[in-house]
Amino acid sequence: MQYFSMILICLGLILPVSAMADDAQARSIMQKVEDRDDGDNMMAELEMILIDKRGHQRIRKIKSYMKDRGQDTLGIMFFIYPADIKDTGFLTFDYDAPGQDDDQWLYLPALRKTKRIASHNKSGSFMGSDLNYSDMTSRDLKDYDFTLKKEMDLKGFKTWMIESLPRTRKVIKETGYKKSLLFVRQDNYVVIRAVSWVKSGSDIKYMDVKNLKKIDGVWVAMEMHVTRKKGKKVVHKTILKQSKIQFNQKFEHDFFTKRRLEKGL
Amino acid sequence: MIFLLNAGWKRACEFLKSPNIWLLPFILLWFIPISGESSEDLDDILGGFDDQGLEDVAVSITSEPSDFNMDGYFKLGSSYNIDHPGPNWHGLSRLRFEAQLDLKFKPSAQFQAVISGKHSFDLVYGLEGRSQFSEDVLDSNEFEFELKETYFQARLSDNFDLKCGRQIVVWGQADSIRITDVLNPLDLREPGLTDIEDLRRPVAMSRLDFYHGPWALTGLAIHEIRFNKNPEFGSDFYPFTSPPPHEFIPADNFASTEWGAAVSLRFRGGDAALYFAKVFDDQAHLTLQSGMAMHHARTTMIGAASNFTRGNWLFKMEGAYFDGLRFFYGADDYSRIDLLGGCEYYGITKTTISVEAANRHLYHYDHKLAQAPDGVRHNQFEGSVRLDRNFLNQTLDFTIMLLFFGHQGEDGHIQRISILYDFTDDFSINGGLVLYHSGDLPAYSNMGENDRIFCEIKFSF
Repeated sequence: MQYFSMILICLGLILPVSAMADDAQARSIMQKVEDRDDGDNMMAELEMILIDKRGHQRIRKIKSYMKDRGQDTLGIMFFIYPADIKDTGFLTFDYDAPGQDDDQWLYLPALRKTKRIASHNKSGSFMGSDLNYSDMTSRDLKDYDFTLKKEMDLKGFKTWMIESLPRTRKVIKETGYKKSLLFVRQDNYVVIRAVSWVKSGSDIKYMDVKNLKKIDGVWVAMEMHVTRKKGKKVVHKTILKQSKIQFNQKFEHDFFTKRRLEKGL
Repeated sequence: MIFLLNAGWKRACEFLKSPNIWLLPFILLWFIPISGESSEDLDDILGGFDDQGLEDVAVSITSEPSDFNMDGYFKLGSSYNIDHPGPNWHGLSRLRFEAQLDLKFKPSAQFQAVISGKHSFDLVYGLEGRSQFSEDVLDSNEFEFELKETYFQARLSDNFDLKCGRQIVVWGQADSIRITDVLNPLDLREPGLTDIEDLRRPVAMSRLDFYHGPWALTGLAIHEIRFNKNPEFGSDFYPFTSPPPHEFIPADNFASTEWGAAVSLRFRGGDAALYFAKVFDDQAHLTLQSGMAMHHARTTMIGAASNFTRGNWLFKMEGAYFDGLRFFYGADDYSRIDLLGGCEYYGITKTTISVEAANRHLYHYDHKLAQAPDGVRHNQFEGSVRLDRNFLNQTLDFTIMLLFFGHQGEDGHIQRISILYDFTDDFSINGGLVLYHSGDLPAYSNMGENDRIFCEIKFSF
């Protein structure tokens, strides 16, 4: 599964614990979003431009590789820019089984060591961006209630606006979001916009897909902006760009291993 | 004015040295306010997609893949002794310019070659007057060039990797306390102040790895015998009043070759490994054979390490049995068992808390060993507590660390607080305070007056 697809889905799967009833139509739509073909054995270059409220920017460049193994997803990322984090690697085994925490390892070249990290809390920022780790891994639809709020035109396409609420405080704590609104395109079941309420404080994250492209039959968000706001003020912004996307790549049998993580690209 | 500043520093240091104050950041973390949901209505919220701005400043970088890469950094680092009463050691202790260059040639995923070197020049000796410093200090610190990791690595087959040359191999799960991590010596000249990337000294070795599924089997031969870099005679960290006897360094030949082997296993939720090493003890002992000299005993280590995750917790365990340890008192070889337990907690966003505790138990202990020059305990307890928290989208990292020997730190302890700020992708500044507390261990006997503030500016490329 592509990281961007995960982001699009995950940013949508979030709201406060409430007595709100689940909406069968909304759930059916979300199931189709989840089931949409997001490609397999994919490689891509990811560029994250991190911009603070004063306009100062930092750049992170990553090469990412993903592969589906049964219901699980294996992923490995190598940081290639800037120099002080170059060769840092991140390996993750994202298990589909409910209640099963992911396996995650971080290779830190300064320590020459691969460190396992506990992955339960996914609310931390991913490499200083406005995405957190829960945005990068798949979520279980059963953890959320969905409500179809309305239909509306967006960027020239018909969309459904769906509200998602985590069913438990545990999910809020783990993901870092207390609710979300998703805007799902009706023609292809791609989430093209999302608003997510951050669990602590009054910040809201706005995710906006700026460039959506079909590659090898798979819809891919080539550029996405994630803006974190407090009221109307921008607190921080992340621009994500994907390039050199290739699906159905043949990876060596040891590609998603600590061996590869430590050797680098 | 200088006196007042010094007095202020001393009072601040005393305040910071009280144990309770170091608990404050840990306590404050639990009271970070969590506010309620925003009251903005839907239209306002959807309006948030408009007027976002800022993207105009975004400039992408281009990087084309290359077989040949050059990386490195320039760094200016300084430390200032704020506590020492003696005129020789109070004040600027280090003003070192460092340059490191790393060249990597990787024509394919099957092969890579790395050459890395670091040169440093400490300006403090020229500024303070070279005559004030011992030859040992000047020789070790003023100019330094070190060939860092320099090796080639080849994938021999689907299951075998070979790596030969100067390299660093880290064993075990612990981060602050060494149990099974015995292969590379350390730079201990400024305890608590050495950058993590410079802490371990690379040694020339040949390493063969065999991989099969979640299993990895490693065999290695260490051809180059290097030991810890300890504080030199004349350094404020040197614990004795007389220079050390000659240190006998075994020649780099086949008879001196050190050996190691490891088996590691990855499983769902955890990792485990077994280790074996036949290496020279990094800690030298005094002998009177053919005059007074420091010798390194040949020791055997059998160890194990494991970690596993539960929710937001990472638990770590390590144990090692050492045989062949030698001391000044006692003619026989000694054996020791080291056990460590630790955990890391990731449940607080942006924060990691890490705790490690270890005990080293020496068998057939003789109470004479407690005396100088050995200063060895029957049971030596070590502990570390570390808190890392980042701010401003990970541009600012705050770290507080406590490393102590003895249950109450009575054998010596170090407290360190530091802040690292990334000005840009290339420039960072790191600064902080290290407080030392004297203790009963020989290495810590005179350390209490070496409190330092430090600052480093680094440009990476």
